[in-house]
Amino acid sequence: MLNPRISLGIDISEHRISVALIKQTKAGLKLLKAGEAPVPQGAMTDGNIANPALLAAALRSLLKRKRIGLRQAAVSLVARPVLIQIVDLPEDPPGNMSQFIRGEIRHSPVLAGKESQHDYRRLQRPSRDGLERILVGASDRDKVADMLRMLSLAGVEPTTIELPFMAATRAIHAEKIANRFNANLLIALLHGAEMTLCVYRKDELDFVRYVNLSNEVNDTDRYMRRSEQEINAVIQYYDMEVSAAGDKWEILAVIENPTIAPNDAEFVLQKGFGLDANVCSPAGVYACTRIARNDKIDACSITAAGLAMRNLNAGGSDLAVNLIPAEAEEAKAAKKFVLLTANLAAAVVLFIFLTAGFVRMQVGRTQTMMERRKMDSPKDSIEQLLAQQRRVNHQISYLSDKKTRMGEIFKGEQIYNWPEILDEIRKNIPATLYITKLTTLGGEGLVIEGNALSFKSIHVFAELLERSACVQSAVVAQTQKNSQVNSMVAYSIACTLSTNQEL
Amino acid sequence: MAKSKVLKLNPTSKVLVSLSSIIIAAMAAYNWTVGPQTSYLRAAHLYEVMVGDAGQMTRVIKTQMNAKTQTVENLNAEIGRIQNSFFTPKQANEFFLDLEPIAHQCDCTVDKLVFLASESVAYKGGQDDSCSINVKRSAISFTGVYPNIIKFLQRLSNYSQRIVINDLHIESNDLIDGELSCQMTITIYLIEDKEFKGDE
Repeated sequence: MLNPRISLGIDISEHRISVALIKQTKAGLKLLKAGEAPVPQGAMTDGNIANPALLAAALRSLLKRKRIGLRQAAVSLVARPVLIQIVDLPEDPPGNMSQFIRGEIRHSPVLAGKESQHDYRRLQRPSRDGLERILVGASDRDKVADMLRMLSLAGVEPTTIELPFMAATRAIHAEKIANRFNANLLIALLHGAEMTLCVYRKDELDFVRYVNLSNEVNDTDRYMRRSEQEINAVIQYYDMEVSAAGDKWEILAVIENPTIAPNDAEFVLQKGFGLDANVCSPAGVYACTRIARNDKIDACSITAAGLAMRNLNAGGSDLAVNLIPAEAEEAKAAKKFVLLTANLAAAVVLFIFLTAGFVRMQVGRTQTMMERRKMDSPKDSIEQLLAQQRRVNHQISYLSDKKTRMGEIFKGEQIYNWPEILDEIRKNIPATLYITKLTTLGGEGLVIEGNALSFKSIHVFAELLERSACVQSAVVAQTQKNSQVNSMVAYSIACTLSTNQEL
Repeated sequence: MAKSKVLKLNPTSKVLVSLSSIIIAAMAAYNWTVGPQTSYLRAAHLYEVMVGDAGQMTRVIKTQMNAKTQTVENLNAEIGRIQNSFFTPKQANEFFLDLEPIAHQCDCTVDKLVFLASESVAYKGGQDDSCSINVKRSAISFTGVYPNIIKFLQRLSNYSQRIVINDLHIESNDLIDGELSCQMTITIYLIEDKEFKGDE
């Protein structure tokens, strides 16, 4: 169960479908939702399911109307015949209890010759002979299968199928059964066309009897009269057979039949037996059970409440049987397993599908990006570029070498701007001086020779030459009186020339 | 019966078998559907990284190539400029033939023109390089007045090729305005270059 603190009980009787949704809180049990619906005409015949689909639709409709989403539920047995019996175990307890019970059931006139579905519960009180006793509940297996089919159609997953009287006694145990040590308590569950009588003696279940009232169910007076007779028979049995004549008796009727008015039942019982008679009906659910009052809900089936309490382990009674066949449990487990496996496989497939989709999307995006990059990227391959680079490097090396070697040819070669030099010389010649010879001196200089009227004019000439841009330096190298011409001075000026930078 | 009991799986085994089957099926499905795509994506990622690197390398190489191409152009320009300093053999012949007329145009009278033997300079082309440079000299003696000598030299300097004047000697016993005797050695450089010839 998804939420074990909330439990659903579904009780189906001949006339009525009842549901109770109970929550276990710290404060106690709380009735969350309760409701009932009539059994559709033709859905049930003689206490058995005649039309599972019709009954399932009614149940589904009720759950939908009450907005109950929980689908796991404890359900009361809807089948006939039903066997409820306390069986004394032999002194040597049987090794195979199931086989022993099946043997006991085979001797029962109710289920003789039928495939039975049964369950049992050990009782704490031994028999008067000191033998261990068990409470056996059984029904026709085919009827139980019909019921499971109906529940499947209704979308309900039964956690247990239980006898109605067990659910009812569980519901009222804390308030009405427990601690009744000073009296025998006779409980009569009037559940549709069935009546279950059980006697609690010294706080322990001592007797149980299932009575089919289907012949009297349509006549309330007869129904009550028959009930009275059956109750009386039990008390007489105890008076005679159990040596309990002096015991005090209390009678408690649990009414789960909408045709019986609780007040009428109480009146009939008190009048008939002169005993204290209590009646528990859906309207008195809060008084008869431990369920805390919910002002929004006036009434709730006591059996349905007891069924819901079973899953919460909230009842004081330990009486409980489960009539769901083991095969059904296995089938349920197998179905659950298949469902789980299928879900897991589906999740895996979905995961792979989504992953594949995502990856495919990524691949598409990558392809687009690669194509764009291919278009954007340079067309030249790196090999071509590298080869081109090698060629250019080689070319640079070759040209650099060529340039260097060509430059070396002119290394040391001085180029002079002779027209300008000669023009400068001509411009700077003083009037008292003339030149007789101009001679280059190796590659660096020029020697000017001539005659002058005075020494001064020679030096002036040298100074003027030195100021010229074409001449780096002009030094008077030699002066001498001219022996041939009086008053004339022969001179020699050594010049260092400026090279022509342009060439 | 016993066989069926042996073969019957307990719930834990069932869970394990189912889980194993689902895992195997999931792995197979993954390998068939998603695996190849992820391999492709991985390869594409590597390709993208490689293309990115290649693109970057291409850009770097192209930038370097641009710079180097510029260097080549500069070198070619410089070499071209240097090559302009050289005479081709034909130009040299024409130049020496023109010396006398030039002197005449400058009102100078050529007395003597001596062509010295040409000599090869240090520069030699490589194995597949047919470029070689020779130096050709000529000693010229002429007479003329000072301004005409300047004019003659001016005419020589107007050539775009490199013309070196050595051993300049100007002498006169007369006054500065008189006729002068001038000797000089003219040196020019000749290039035997296929490339250069091709440009011609």
